[in-house]
This record gives sequence, structure tokens and C-alpha cells, in this order.
Amino acid sequence: MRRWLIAVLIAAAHLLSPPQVTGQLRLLGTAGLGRPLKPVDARARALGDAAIALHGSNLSAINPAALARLNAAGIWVSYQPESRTVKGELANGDFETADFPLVRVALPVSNRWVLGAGFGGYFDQDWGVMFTDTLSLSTGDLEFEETRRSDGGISQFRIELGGRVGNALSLGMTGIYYSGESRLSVSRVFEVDSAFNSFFTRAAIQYQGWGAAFGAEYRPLDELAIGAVATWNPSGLTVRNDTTNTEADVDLPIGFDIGASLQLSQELVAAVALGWTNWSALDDDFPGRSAADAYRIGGGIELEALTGRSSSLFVRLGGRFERLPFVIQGGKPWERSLSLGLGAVLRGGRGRLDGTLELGGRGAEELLIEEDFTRYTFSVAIFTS
Amino acid sequence: MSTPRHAALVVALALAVGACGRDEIISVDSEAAPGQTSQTREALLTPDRLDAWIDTLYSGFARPSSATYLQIEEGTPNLISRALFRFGIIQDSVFLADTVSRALRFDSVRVVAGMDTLRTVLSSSGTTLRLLAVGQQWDARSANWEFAVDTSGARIAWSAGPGGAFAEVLAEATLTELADSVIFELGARGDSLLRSWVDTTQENTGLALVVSDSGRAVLTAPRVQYRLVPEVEPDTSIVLRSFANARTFIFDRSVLPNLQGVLRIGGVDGWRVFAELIIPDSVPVEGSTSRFRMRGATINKAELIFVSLPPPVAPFAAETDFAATVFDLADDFRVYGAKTPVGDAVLGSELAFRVDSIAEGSELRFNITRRMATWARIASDSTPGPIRLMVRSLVEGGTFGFWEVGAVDGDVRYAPVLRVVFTPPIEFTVP
Repeated sequence: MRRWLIAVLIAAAHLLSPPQVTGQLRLLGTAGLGRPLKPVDARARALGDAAIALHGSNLSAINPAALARLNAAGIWVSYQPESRTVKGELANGDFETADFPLVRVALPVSNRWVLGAGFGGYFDQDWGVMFTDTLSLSTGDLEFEETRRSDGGISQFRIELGGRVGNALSLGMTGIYYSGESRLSVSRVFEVDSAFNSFFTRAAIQYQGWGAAFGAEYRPLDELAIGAVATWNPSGLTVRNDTTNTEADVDLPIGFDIGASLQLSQELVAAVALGWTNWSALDDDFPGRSAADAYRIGGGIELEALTGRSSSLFVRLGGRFERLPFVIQGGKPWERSLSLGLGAVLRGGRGRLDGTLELGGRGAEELLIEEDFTRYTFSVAIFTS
Repeated sequence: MSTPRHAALVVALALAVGACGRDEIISVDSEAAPGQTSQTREALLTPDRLDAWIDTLYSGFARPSSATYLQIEEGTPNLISRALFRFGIIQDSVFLADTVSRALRFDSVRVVAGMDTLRTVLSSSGTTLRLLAVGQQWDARSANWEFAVDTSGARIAWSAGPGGAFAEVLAEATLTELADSVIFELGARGDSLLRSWVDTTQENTGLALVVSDSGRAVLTAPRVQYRLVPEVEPDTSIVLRSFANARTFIFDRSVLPNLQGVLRIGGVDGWRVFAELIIPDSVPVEGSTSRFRMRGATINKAELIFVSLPPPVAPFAAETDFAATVFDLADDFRVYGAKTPVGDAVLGSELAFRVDSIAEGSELRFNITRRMATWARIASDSTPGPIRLMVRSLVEGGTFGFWEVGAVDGDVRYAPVLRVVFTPPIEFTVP
């Protein structure tokens, strides 16, 4: 088993190794709809976002069929602070962000069916840059400082239903309402003694749309769980600029995710997930830019390290790689991370505390820039019994 | 947990979802910065690039009697100029020991005037200023070289011919070097002179200051200073002073007529430039063949640029630095002429005319950013009216001379220009 663990670590380290980058800078998260977010909890984060099928309670709002495995009402929330360091010849600096990627409740409505609702992130559009430049005028050159910011993003509100249709099979479906706003601003400040008025403008871009997700989880053996999720967004996104009162419709893609969880021993679980989303179908919606299919792979292991009378402590290790959808200067951006997590199940499952540390990076082949990030995810869950 | 509590918790947590943290700013290279922006543009709008640019010139907003100085000059190539002033209020009693005591006599009577050393020019051998009694009545607001009174109702020539009618010499002061003030001691004549000013019910004919040889002196308002010896206490004296309540100066040059293509600012006659600009919403900009919309844009800077003509002929070129500023006009000067109501000064438009450094072709730039910003902010579904401006010296009558700049109808090399640096609004595209 130790060899197997080392092999996983080597593979994860390879995923994290930075690629060679050339070309022009475009900051990550500034293209298209932004940087994708997932409504996953700290446990799934620690297992490389393998949240399609999991032994034990799967609290991430990815596969609605997983709700069927809950037998008590509960509420849980995840908090996710992240430190980013941007490195490059053309840009550098540190980011600090904090998000609530998942807030979710579940309520069993019968022996078989569980109803859920949740909020989660969908796209992050927080970024800000600053630079100095020179304006050439008839009176000579004039230096100015410009700041461009984007704050906000798109969230998803989910109403979910999961149920067991047999001992081994669970099905679920989710109605998703997408909503959000990004507040864009640009300010340009000229040299103080130039007597030039500063330029400042801002706009709010609002997003609305809806979609659905269908999930299944199948356990042919007690030690094996496999799952699949299909996401379908028939309405697309209606994007509205409240400053110019203009509107545009953007298609949203369909996506497929599959995953599996294997109980290797009583203390050890391994999980893996793969996914694909056909963002390339949106290419026409982003003139001057483009979108490419996104895919993702991740996995991890969970070891029950300590077991008490009614509590358990888990140690988790995982890694993941993801191709992000919005192509930047011809380069397909990626994100990869290695994660280490701790989790505790308390009072016989009435409470759960999970924490995950992720060390990762983002970049793209054509960028002269890379981001390193350190992300923490903390989740707290409370169940009625 | 009850269902309402569930719901409340869900709502609270949902609100927390929106309370995400925000990014810090990172430094990037300007060429590589992401996001949408708008380029700052510069438009140099000559009159032919506007829908209309009309300008004209009016004077008479100042006169020698309202000038901040008195100019006396003789024996120079410029002009002959003489100062007239009178003291209308002479205090001839004081309150002492609970009683009012009249003046037993006036001692140490002297006339004192401050001197503008920058504008005073003495001859190499010294310049003698002479204090004279004026020999006839004169009207401070209308007196000029030819006439003691020159109003629409009355015109009375100087009895001694052009240049004033003077009686006896009361005092002299010879200046060999510049000083802060010049003092004329009236000596024994002082007492009787002050009594004559007190005793008469008529306005006194006042005093004159002239240069008796050659040179130019620019003086501030004169004052008479004296010691009043009261009847009740003849051993004591009280120093009193009185400022001239009427003053002017007369000179042997007529006001210059308006000339085509010439605008004037400043001078003892108070020359003012009136202009009306009708600006199109979109304008051509430097470095591009396209027109860019200026209405709705941020006006980073706007300047009304006048181009200096050669300095006016002596003595009409401003003899010292002065400041000029731009005012809003409240109405159409083509209807109301010189009497067009004037609005507020355009904040920040004050400009120093440093006359020694203004050469022909120099650009005199008035900052009218605030006025242009007001224009640009007018709602896009409204039609903005013309921008009407008036340019005048900040202190009218502060200098004898003025400065000349080109007008729209003059030589195109001296034509005024409206320079606007603006940033059009960003039309953030979706998404």
C-alpha cells in the first residue's frame, strides 16, 4: 500500500509542476465568465474534488443522488479563503480572497427521498490590476495610473431531490438557478500637478439563467460506489449591462461527470472523478475570445486514522488537474493542486468538521504569468441525528 | 430544530454567500493589462471644427477713477498723465474731556501716497513730483485730458486747455530713488488749505499730482495726514488722516478703437472678450481620422487657448503682470452687448499674464475644465446650449495697458483654439 501511496504522490507532484509559458499576459479569471467555482465541501476538496460518488456522507452539491444516502436532516457550510501569488515579468502581486463555495441543507422527506437546497459558487470574477502609463499629448507626455477592477461573480441556487430506487441505486435531480453580478470599474489618475481630472467609470453586469443536473449513484458492491452526473442548462445565461441597458444571451454547456469510490479496507477509501463540459459550444458567444471544452480529473485517498467511541478522525490526500474553459490568448488555462485534509466525524455522525489545505497553481501555455495559490477549505456540518 | 429555524438559518447562510472577500490589486505591465478600458483623447478644436465660434470685444468696464492706482507721467515717449484727487472729509473737531473741541489749527499737514516701485520709472537725474491745487471743479468719473466734466449731460473743458487747470504749487518732492511712498509737506499752507476744504459747502477742487520734469510714477490712493490742535487743549495735538474720496488720472491718449481680428484683455478701460462656442457632440481627435463622442465623456482637461498678437503699441501694452480669468455669461451677448449679465467665474481658470515673457504667438491657456465638464454632463437626450464665456482681467483697472490676442475673424495663425482632453465612457460589453 505504501508503494501505491508513493505513486499517487508522484503523479500529483507531476500535475503540479509548472509548464513553460510564452506569449502575452492575460490574467487568469479575466476572460469569459471568469474562473469556475465548484460547490464542494472540504472533504471533496481533500480528495481532489472527487465528489461524484463517495463512501460516507457526500456533502458536495455535485451529484444530487448522493443526497439519498443521508438519513437525517442537516445543514452545512464551507468557507474557503485563498491566497494567490501572481508571478511573471509583466505582473506580480498577492491576492487574498475568501468565498463561501457551499451552503446547503438537506431534509429527508421519506425513507427513500431526501430534499435539499443549496447555494454555491459557479464563476468567480474577482480581479484587479494596476499599472502606470504615459499619455502623449500636444503639450508633452503625461503619466497616469490606471486601476481596473472586477468584483463579483455568478452563484448557483440549487433545489435538489435524491432518492433510492433500489438497494444499490440512487437517483437525483437538481434544479439550478444561476444569478450574479460583476461590478466593473476603471479609474485613471493623472499626475497631481497636471490639473487633469481623473477618469472613473463603473458598470454592473448581471447574470441570470437556469439549468438542471441529473445524477445517479450505483453500489454494485458494498466496497464500490460509482456515480455519474449530467448537467444541462437549457436557458443559458441572460447577461445584462445595467449601465447601457443592453442584454445578451450566452449558452451554457452540458457536462458529464463520472466518479467512483472504492473501500480499500475498513479504514481506507480511494475516490476518483472525471468530468467534461462542452464549453466550446459557446465559442460564438465570446467574440474576440474563445471557449474550449473543460475537463477535469481528480482523486484522493481517505484514511480513518483514529476511531473513538462515537467519533473518528480522517486524514486525506488528493490531487487534481483541470482544464479551464475560457481560452486566453490562444492558451488553454489549467489549474492543478495537491491537497491534504483532516476531518472529524463527531457524536456518531451528528457533526462533521473538515479542513483542507490545497497547494496549487494556475497558468496557461500562452501566458507570461502563473498563479500559485494556497487554499483552505473549512466545512462544518450538523445533522439532527 | 423547527422548520422556521431551519429557514432562518438558510437565509442567513445564503446572505453570507454574498459576503465573499475581494481581491487585492496587482501590478501589471500596461500593455498586458486585462479588462476593458477607454483611451484618453485629445482634441484641438479650432473654430472651423466647432459648429460655431463667435467672439467680440467690449470695453468701459473700468476707468481711471476706478483704477487701483494713479499714474503720473511726463517727458517720456509714452504719454502725459496727471492725477487728480480731493479729500472730501476733513475732521476738524475732536472729543476731549467730555466736550467737543474744534481745531485751533492744523499742524504738520502732509499728503502721502504709496508708490508702486515696479511700475515707477525715474529719470537718471531724478524725477520731481509736484503737488498742485486744481483751479476748477472736475468730475472724477468723467474727467479726461480735454474736459474737466465729460458726461452725457454736461461737458466742461479745462479752463487752461487740455491737460487740466492748475493753480499754485503746494509742494514738490524729488525722487532720486524708488521708495515705498512719497510725502508732500504742505508747511504753512496746510492749515488754510484744510480749513478751506472744511468751511466750504461745495466740493473742493482738490489737488493734482504731476511730473514736472520727466519720469513716471505709479501711486496708490493718496491720504492727507495732519495734527489737529484742539482749542480746549492747545498744548496737545492729535494725528488724523483722511483718504481721497475722489481720484482719477487724465492722459493725452484716446481709447483705442476695436480692430478686426483683435481681442483685448485688461487695461484701464477694462477690455473684455466675449465668446460663444457651439460644440458638436463628437469631435475629431489627434492621431485618428475618426470622430469621438465628447458628450458624456469625462473631461480630463479643457483649455481655451488664445494666441498672443505682437504687444500693443506703447503705452497700451500692459506695463506689468496681471491675472485674467474666465466667467460664464448668463445670456446672449449678441442681444445684450456689453450689458450681458455675467455669471460665476469658471473655477480654476485664472491665468497669470507675465507680460515680459509673452511673445507674439505665445499661447495663453485658460483652464475651463469645469465648464466643459458641465457641458459634457448634459443628458444625451437634451440639446446643450452654446458655451458662453467672458474673459477679463481679474482686477479690472489694475494695469494701464492690456494684452491683445487673436480673434476668430483675424489671422488664422492667431485664431483661438479649444483644447479638450477627454475620456469617452467605457461601453462594457456583455459578458
